[in-house]
Amino acid sequence: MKKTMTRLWAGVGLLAGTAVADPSFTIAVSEYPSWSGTFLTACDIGLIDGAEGAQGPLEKKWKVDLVVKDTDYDSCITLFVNGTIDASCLTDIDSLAPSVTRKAVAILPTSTSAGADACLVQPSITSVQDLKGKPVRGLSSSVSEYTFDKCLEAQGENPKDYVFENLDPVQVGVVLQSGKIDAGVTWNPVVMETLKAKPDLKRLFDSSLIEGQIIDMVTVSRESLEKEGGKDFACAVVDVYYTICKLMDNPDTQDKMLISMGKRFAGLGLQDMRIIVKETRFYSTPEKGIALFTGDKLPAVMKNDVLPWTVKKELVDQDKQPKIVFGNDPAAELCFDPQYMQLVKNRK
Amino acid sequence: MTDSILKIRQVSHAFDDHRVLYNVNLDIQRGQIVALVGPSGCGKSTLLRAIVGTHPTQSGESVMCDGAGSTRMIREPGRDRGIVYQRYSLFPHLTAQENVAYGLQVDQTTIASRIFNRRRWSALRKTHMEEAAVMLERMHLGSALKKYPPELSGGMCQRVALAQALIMRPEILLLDEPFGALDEATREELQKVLLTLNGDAKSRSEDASYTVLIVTHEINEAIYVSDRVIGLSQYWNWKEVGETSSPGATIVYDQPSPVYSLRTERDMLKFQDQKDTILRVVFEPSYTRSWKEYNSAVREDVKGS
Amino acid sequence: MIGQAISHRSRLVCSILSVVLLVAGYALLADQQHRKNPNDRTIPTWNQLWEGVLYLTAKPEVSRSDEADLLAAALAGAEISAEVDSTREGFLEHRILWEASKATLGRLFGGLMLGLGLGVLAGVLMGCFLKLDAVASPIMYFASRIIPTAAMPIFFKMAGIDLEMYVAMITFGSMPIVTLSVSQYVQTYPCELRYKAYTLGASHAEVITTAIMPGILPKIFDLAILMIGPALVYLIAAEQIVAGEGFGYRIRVLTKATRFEAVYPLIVILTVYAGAITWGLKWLQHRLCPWYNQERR
Repeated sequence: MKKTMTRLWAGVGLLAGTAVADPSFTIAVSEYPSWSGTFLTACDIGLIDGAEGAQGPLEKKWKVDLVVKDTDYDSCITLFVNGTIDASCLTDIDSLAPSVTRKAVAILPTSTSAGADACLVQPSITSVQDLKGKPVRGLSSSVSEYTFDKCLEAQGENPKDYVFENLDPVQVGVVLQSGKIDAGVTWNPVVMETLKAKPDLKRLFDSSLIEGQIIDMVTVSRESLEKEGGKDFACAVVDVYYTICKLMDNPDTQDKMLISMGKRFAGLGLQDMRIIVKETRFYSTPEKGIALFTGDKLPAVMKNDVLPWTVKKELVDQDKQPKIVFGNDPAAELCFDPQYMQLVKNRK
Repeated sequence: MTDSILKIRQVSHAFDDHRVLYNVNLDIQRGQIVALVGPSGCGKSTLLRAIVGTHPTQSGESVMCDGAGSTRMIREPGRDRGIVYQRYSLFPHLTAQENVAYGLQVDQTTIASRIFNRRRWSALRKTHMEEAAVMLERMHLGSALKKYPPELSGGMCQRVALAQALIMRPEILLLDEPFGALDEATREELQKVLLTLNGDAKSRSEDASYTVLIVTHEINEAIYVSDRVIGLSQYWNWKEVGETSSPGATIVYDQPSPVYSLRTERDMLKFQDQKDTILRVVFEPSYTRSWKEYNSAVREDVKGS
Repeated sequence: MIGQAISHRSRLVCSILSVVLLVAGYALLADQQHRKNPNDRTIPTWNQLWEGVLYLTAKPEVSRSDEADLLAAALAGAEISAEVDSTREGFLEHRILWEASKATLGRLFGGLMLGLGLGVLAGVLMGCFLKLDAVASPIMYFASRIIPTAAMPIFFKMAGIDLEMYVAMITFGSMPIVTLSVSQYVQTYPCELRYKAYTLGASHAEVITTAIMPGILPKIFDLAILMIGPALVYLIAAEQIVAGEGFGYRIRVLTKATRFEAVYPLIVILTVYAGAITWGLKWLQHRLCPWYNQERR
């Protein structure tokens, strides 16, 4: 009888132990080399589980349950704004408007576009000036249009002298191949595949002219960080990212890693992925990430380029511009906070 | 048997401003086959629906009487009244045999018993299907047991419908122009079926079987099949009762008709007089003599042989 | 003459001819496009399409042991000591077509079953009880006019972005239409048969379950067949936006990579699935409602 009761209590204890779960946090990830290529690949190899209620080794390390949602980029923004998820992979450009509704903290820069966004033209276009009077197609009010405007400015041109018309980035590639348009701005892998499919198309200019302006990041809502386990969640996200980057940088695992990442980025093969990771420059170590958030360049870019452009494009209301802080300020709408990268670096 | 099975008292009905029935009074005796005739639109179907219980009338009452003297108001369809319609006479998703067995199934079991007492239900079902087969054999439909209604001719469908209603032994069987959509030959054949069934029942002295009210626009059929013809008509002298406009149809003719059996040769000339009278009294718009004239007396010249 | 009958043989010959013309026409178009640009993939040749099919059905390049190696290296890098479970089922083991089929068909069946089930239940109740119909019809009519793909952000908020969302979207897209249709079927079920059932001794529940429901069952099958198309539209649209697997997701990913040689076979396979489901439902209708085919004839 006594033995039975002991077993019974042990069972109850076990159940109780099982029932006490680590806090669960969601992160939305869209298809991009430094987003789906890292976080979803981490799920694929088992470093994290990605599903609710199940934990991989890295989640157990930080005592959190990471729930990774694979969606398209626009949904990442929508889900962040409506509070359905705790964190989203967004660019600096697209973090501003949501932060007005839901205070946000950028905890990790993942990469910067260094050629991943490009303006492709037909052979008849030989210089930037040839584009005047001709509609250039691309997704308006997005990274594509930002790339177009800022690259023109970088070359001494005034964007007002040029026409930019809306078209889905994938369709840009298709109609460029068919010859129906003279020029279009799009991003990888469409850039790469389009040039392969029609070699006479030219890359007129690309985001390497404005490297360091388009920053791909992981943005977490402030209220999620303040929840129990929120800090551990942020650290876990940062740790996943740098762990995967180590595999990418390690010659012994690089090829397999790139193939795995390619499965999560347009199904690209090894050779294509080698090009991709050159044109999307990863901030692959905590040192690089911390340097970006604590340096002088990014604050200037945000103040002088990114924020004014989003206001001009009416992504952000002129009268309701978010307060941007580099550091931690609970009153600010958008913070670029290096502390989590620091914590992960120090723990290692 | 002379006791009433169905009593209709002072039934009147109107559809908005259009008055259809006026002060209809009717007693149907147990064991009678009553034919109800009348011009199109006079309210035969309205009256029939009131008896079925699906469309109660605005005033008056219809009651069913049992042999012990108690009555029950007709407010909704019930087991005591069987019905055969002219169209949609059978459930299309059941075979002929299943159609006939349907009533036995739903009357003798419940949904719960069919689900939770499968063994008993299986045994009962077997019995129901056997009874249905026997009934259909009587209708000379033994080869059609497994056929669905679309596979049956019109005449076969109506025979199955009759079997479906009769197997339940309703207190009164209501037939709403059951043979109306059939050709002459098939109609005659089915009239004979009805007479046969009635004859069989009477010879077996079955109680409360085959009291029939048949609504028809065919006067020959009415006289041949029934032993009492009732004429409902809007053509009557309504001014006599103080109305200023037509108040609707009422019973203007109610007389016995010859009782025929299958052994009797069907000779329509023998009841030509009665037919002419019915045509004049019930169907002729210009005939507006007193509605009481043909309502009560038994006329010597229409007794059957 | 209009409506003049043709023989089975003629019908077969014409059908085969149309398919042959379609195939030949496409081959001609692809050939023309490739003469202009030999690297073109927007209109793949038959060879390229075959390569696409092979890509969809090929075993992944990274094997389970490769995965295990990567995990071991990752754990070492993250300074975690944990056992590597080499029996763990990874994403990379399975062929693309198999994974996409499982995901999409699972969501489709779940959503359709729920949408049809709830719609039939609600429709029968509304058809039988006209007061309920008067209350619910305006709401159902309005709901049937909402385009689920346009209302996706609402689904995200209410049902998340997992399986529940797809099922909710298909259910919401199909249920109002099914409800209104079934309600109509019940209300137009011949009253003579209803009354007859009562006179034979049926209770209200038996009138519904033994007369009305079997009577309208063939039409419910027809409705289910009609709902497959719209359900797939909602599902593929949703998968393109939020899914991590499925036909919509794969089409989006492969289109981004302009791998149309794999996109077109996916579309054809999806169409074949839809055709197979339609055929399956028709077969089931034929088995369960043999009288219906008699009526039609």
